Amino acid sequence: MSSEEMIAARGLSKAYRIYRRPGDRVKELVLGRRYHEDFWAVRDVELSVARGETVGVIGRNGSGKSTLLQLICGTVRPSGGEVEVRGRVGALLELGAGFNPEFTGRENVWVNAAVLGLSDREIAARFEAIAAFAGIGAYMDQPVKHYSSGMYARLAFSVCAHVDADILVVDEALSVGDGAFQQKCMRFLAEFRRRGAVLFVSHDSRMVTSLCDRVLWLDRGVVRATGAAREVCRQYQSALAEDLFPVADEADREVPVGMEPVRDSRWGDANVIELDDFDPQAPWYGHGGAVIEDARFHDPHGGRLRTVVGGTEVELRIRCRAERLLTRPIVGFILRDRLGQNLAGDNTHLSYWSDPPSIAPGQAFTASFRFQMPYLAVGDYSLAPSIIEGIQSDHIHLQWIEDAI
Amino acid sequence: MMAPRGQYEGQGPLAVFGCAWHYRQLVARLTIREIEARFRGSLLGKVWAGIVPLFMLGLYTFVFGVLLRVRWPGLEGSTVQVALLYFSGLILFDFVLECLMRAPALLAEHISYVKKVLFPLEILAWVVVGGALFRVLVGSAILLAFYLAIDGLPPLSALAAPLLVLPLALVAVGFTWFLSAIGVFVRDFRHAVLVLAPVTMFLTPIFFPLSTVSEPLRSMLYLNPLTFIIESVRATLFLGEWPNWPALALYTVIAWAFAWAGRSWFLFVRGEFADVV
Repeated sequence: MSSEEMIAARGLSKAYRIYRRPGDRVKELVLGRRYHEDFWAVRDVELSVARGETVGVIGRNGSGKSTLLQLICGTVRPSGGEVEVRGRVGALLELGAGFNPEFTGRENVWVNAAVLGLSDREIAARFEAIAAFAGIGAYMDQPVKHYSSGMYARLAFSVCAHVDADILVVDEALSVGDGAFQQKCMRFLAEFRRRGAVLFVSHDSRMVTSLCDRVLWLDRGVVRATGAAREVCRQYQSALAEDLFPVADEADREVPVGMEPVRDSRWGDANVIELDDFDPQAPWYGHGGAVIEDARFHDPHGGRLRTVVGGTEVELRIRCRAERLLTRPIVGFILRDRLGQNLAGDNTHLSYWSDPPSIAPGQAFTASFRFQMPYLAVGDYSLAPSIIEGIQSDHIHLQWIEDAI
Repeated sequence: MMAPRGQYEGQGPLAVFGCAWHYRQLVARLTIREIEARFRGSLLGKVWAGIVPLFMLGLYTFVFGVLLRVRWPGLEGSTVQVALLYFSGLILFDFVLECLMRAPALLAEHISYVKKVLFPLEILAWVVVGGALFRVLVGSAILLAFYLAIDGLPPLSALAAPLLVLPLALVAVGFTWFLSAIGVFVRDFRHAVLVLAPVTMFLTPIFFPLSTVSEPLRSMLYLNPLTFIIESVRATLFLGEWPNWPALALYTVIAWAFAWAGRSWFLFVRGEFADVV
């Protein structure tokens, strides 16, 4: 282990024993015969994280991300290989582990901080800082059961952030808070990695690329790829897209892929999605410098659409106006479901990668995206257009509108 | 989440207390929460801590003293005094029972401490025992108040009564370690405890003095760890007899060894907890 290496995993593996019946576990113990099957949640993972590094772990549900983190934190024992960890691990595996809903925020901070290893004196010294970071004001003295999930997460994150750790393990923890708090957490993590190492787990490639130097992609417990964040995330995204919008199966292969989207005939024209108008009053954040004036759907012939049908080809036009000179604008959008989960999105980054346009102040410009509308289950969805300046991994938000459509 | 600074590594017999001492702030905080959590959200709050034992005492006085007119063999006393005799035994029985009932599901209740945090799980047993000891304390205060009101000052030997509770706490924490660790793997224990609780109640000399039981049953009852302690506590409180010191010393040594074995077993299997819970 080199001097600056903080996490070193070699051939790290974890097999869970799967018993068909609870009695089989006892039978195995008594009779000494094998009654279980091994399920390899994580297999042969090599990982090395040095001080000052932020390493992302991506992968789909059940790919072994959480198990890997638990192995590194030491709550789960490896079945094979080894993991060496130097320094105190602060894991945000589950925010508010052991929060009791009946107790107030203040009481829960005390217990939670004690559980995380702080002494009474240390908690007393840091309490004000914890409360200030959480920013939930008078709710501090309300029972936690009255909190919104966002407030709950803010308080829990705040406690974790104030326990001195050398290594932070963050598991999907930031996805609950609102935009402002997420940014606060991001700033905290950026600050933190100057003195320690961060292991960051998410499904959200956008967050991972903006935060991490390197990324490990886990697929069914095995490392599928590892390397520069942007590259691995791109591979991961395209693999995801293949699963979401499967390229024709064998029988349909005559259809030239990409020329004509494959439609799921089971839906017919039944998957009609109603569109709301662009809402210029929707909440937004960013530094300003450009305004998103409109976002609307069109059919391939240019006609404006009030409804779109899942599976059909549509064109999304996002009209923006520059308020100052923009040198490398990237326009993008994300389609989210009611819970704020990202479903699909795209941006102009790759199309204009080699030849970034620059826009004069006051000039309006429109970005168009042609894609096959996904089939959506019944429910509310929102479309969030955004305009940024810079490159994907290092940029400033000019404007980001939540719930524009 | 966080590895508590300076993890406790003790393994020997002293570690039975050592772990609780090492994490004393954490144990204290969790014990207070354990006690408060029981009453949180109820209108009367902490008042319930006193109402429950008071009601029990009243019930026993009424049923056994007034309705059934039970006399305690070898003791001339008022109806309330008989109830106090029952009550002293019940306080101790409840103490152990409370730990036995909580133990099998203890780790399932604290799943996030098992899976998500590096947490010294073995102190949960002391937290349960601490919470149960609080009830002993409240019960004892009520017992003492009625005692003073009816009989005046208790004999000097009553000073030995708290000493008798400590070895019983060792037995309780030992059981909690054993049962909580087994309960992770075999869920059936939480039901088994419910079935066995009333049985053990009648195998414990709460409502009768041991002297009324004939051999060989009497000797067999001594296998119940509560028997010796309850008999001794009653003797110190109501008969003015000091405990049998050599016997108490032997009891303490055995109880300590039992607690140590419980903790060792707990630590031996704890690596598996996160996989199974």
